[in-house]
Amino acid sequence: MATSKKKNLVKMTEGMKQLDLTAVTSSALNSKLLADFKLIIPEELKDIKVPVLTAPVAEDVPGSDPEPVYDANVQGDIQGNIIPGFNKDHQHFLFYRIGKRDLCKSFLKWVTPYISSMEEVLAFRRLFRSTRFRLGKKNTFLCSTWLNIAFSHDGIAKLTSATEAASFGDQSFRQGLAQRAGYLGDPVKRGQRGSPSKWVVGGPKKEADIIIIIASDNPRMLDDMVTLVKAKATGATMKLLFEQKADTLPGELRGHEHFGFRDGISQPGIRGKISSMPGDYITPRYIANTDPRRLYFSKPGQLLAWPGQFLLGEPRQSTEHLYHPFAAASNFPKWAARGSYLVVRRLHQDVKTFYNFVESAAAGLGMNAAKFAAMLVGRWPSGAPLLRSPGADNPALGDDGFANNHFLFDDDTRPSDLRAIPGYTGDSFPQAAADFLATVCPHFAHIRKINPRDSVTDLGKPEDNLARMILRRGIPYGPHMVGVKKPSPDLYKKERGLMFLSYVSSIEDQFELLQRRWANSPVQPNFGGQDPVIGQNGTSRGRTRFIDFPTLGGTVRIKYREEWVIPTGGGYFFAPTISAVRDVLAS
Amino acid sequence: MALLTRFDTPAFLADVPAGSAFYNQWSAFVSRLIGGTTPGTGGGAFYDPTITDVTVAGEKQLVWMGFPRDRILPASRDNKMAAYIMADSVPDTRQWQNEYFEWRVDCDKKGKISRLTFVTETPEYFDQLWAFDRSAVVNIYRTLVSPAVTEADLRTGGGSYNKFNIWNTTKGIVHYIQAINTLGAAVGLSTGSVNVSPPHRDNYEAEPGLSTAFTSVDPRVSFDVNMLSRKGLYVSFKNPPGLYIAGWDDSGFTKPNGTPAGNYWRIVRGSPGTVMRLIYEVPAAEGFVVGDMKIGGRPVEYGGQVAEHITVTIGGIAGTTARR
Repeated sequence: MATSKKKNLVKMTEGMKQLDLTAVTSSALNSKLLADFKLIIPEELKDIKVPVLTAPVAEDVPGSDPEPVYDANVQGDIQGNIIPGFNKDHQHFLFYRIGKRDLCKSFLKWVTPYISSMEEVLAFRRLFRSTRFRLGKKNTFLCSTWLNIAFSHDGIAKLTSATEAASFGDQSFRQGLAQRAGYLGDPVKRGQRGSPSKWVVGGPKKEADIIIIIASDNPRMLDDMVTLVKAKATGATMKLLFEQKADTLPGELRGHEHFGFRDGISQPGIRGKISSMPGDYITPRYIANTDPRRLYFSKPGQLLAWPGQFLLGEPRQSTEHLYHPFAAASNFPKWAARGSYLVVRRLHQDVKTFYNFVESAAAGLGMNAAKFAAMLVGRWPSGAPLLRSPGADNPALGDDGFANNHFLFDDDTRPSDLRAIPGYTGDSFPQAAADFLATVCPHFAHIRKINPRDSVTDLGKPEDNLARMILRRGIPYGPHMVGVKKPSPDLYKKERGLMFLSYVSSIEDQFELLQRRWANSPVQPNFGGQDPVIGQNGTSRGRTRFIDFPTLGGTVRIKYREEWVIPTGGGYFFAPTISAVRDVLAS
Repeated sequence: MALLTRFDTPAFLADVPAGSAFYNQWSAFVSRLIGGTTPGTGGGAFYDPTITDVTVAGEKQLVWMGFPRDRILPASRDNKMAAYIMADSVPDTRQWQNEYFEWRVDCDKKGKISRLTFVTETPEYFDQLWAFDRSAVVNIYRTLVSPAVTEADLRTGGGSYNKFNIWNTTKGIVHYIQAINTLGAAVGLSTGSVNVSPPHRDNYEAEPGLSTAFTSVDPRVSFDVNMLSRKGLYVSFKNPPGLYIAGWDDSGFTKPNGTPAGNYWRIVRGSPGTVMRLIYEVPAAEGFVVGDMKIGGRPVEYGGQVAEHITVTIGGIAGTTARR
């Protein structure tokens, strides 16, 4: 690990130590971390084996509330990227504007049989896991190609009626992403980088009516499917506004985003069963009956949320209780039941600027740059949480799905009692110690901002946090830069970032709340500055942000102006059931 | 940490001349509110830093949403507009504004919102000041609300301070009047959250017993204070004890022409970090009023729509060893 030899640049200003980087521009610096990626990702990450998660014993969790059963018919109707999620290495996103209505409906009739269901994706996942268990290797050579679809408010209005579209209760959905951009803290001045006027899709006159998501394990099969869909759509007078190919990063970076950090570790477990058989849950339960936490965790660190948080019309998560349900919503047309709102954001990642900031800030503080970067995220690049490995990255911990998400913020974390799990020898990593003063994982750290876990927040009790969780289905796009020994100037200039996708039942209370209320705020859910990864400052006071960085010598306020996650497109969509596509939107 | 010589007035207000006996009177009043809860041995208690010396381990600002959460959750989860309407209603008692945060809505002749005034001042401060120097209270009212305020307007028939006076209800706003928004209640909420029984090992275990309230502030304070005290830490208020406006977010606030709004906030009492009175009002030169604006593309019709973007805070300190 590199240690900066630069002089400590912290100054005392107005009673608080400050490091002012607002005048630093990305062109003035070159990142050593990027040039030598071993500083970011330890070499040994390449050799880590993924633990195999298989279903535990067939038994319902004693003491828990009855959970809804989604039989084969229902599973066959819910789109598979919602539950359980495609999680494919290669995906392609097509953004369409509807042309002639009747021809679009014909297209929808044609495409409906291709829409992959929850049943199909779950079946593949079971096959994949059992094959991987049998082989004892990551690569199973299994392959499938899937398609999902979602519609904007305007798209639904065109295919049904304005009245029908207006009956969706989610006001943000009705307004659309571009109209909410300022509320999300995005730049909004016309022509400003990141503003809707500059978006590749979703901005003024570029709003998509339909998004089609095609995903595969095999790039060639993906291309074949994309070609087929595009030909059919063109024939139906649908205008392709934008398309984005996206792939997981290669090699040891698989599962990581472009800054080099492993992504998607902390997802909520979804309550509900896939049959009435005992223990046949959507999200397998691994906590032993001897541990009372079985009532709200599916595995260590993975909280369970009621399915109505993601599927309209299903029982929702109580905002006041950890494991009781709350009444289902009914503010949507009947045909929209078991559909889900889909938030799509194309987020450009300026990797060079991010690491320039990391290095200049770390140098200013006189600390290790890799540790500084990890404190911005709350995890090491391998995914190992700082709270369980404060001193250095621990790839084995980062790869252990039963350990890498098991930690609290406010109190010491106790080991979980687990059911017998084939192939898993137990969590022997040091448990996390309470970090209520946020000196290990700062309050501004990305994972602490958007998932406060056991902490109380500006909205009160930690139970409320469960009702804010989202299902993330993102995937990187563009060529990676981290890990490239000598990146060319052309590589620097390439477009790269994250296709952020999340499924929710309330855009305003889930996705928008996380972005605006927590990531963008310097004081919510706790004092400490904006989320340095995705936080924005869209207030009238200007776009400068800060983080209150904990050091042994006291807190240092680091102010900065550069932006490294820039919105470049997207939209608010609704992913209906397959039968709703066939019987309502295509009819 | 050295003993505090005294508790300062909220936001270090200087409503009477420096050196006035009022400052000691106020400090003694706060001590009495905390009174009886100074720690013995073993930690885990609330303490009075003017009596007990504690080695401070850290400070924590507890922050919460100013808009009353219990108007939204759980009952109006799908109908936020109903929550806005309710929260703005009954301005004479501001009965729904129960997050230690109250506001007043002023409208122009067309019925559009022209000014929003947000406050976190406690009635106790005005009671104490009234008892010490009535003219000082009158001067504050005249400065903040109207030059027309008289002493008679502010007193009850018995001569004591009337917190429900017209300039703090129908014709203006100066400090809290909602029944449970008092400094005493805030102190009680804090001191009552230490060493609860049965003890909890983490916040998940603490619920639902620790706080069944639907508000933001009650669980925020109860959980955080209890979390600190169950670690054996001594807990108290950061000086000067008080409830302050922590932040305000006008991202997505737009002018009638759709462009981003300017910085229309004015701090009237306190200073950044200890704001107690905040006004949102568009300068006349702009040619429009708050009610002409939108937030995230939605017309501003209720004060609560702005209030939900404002946070309130109380400062806490936690320490390890206590010496009397």
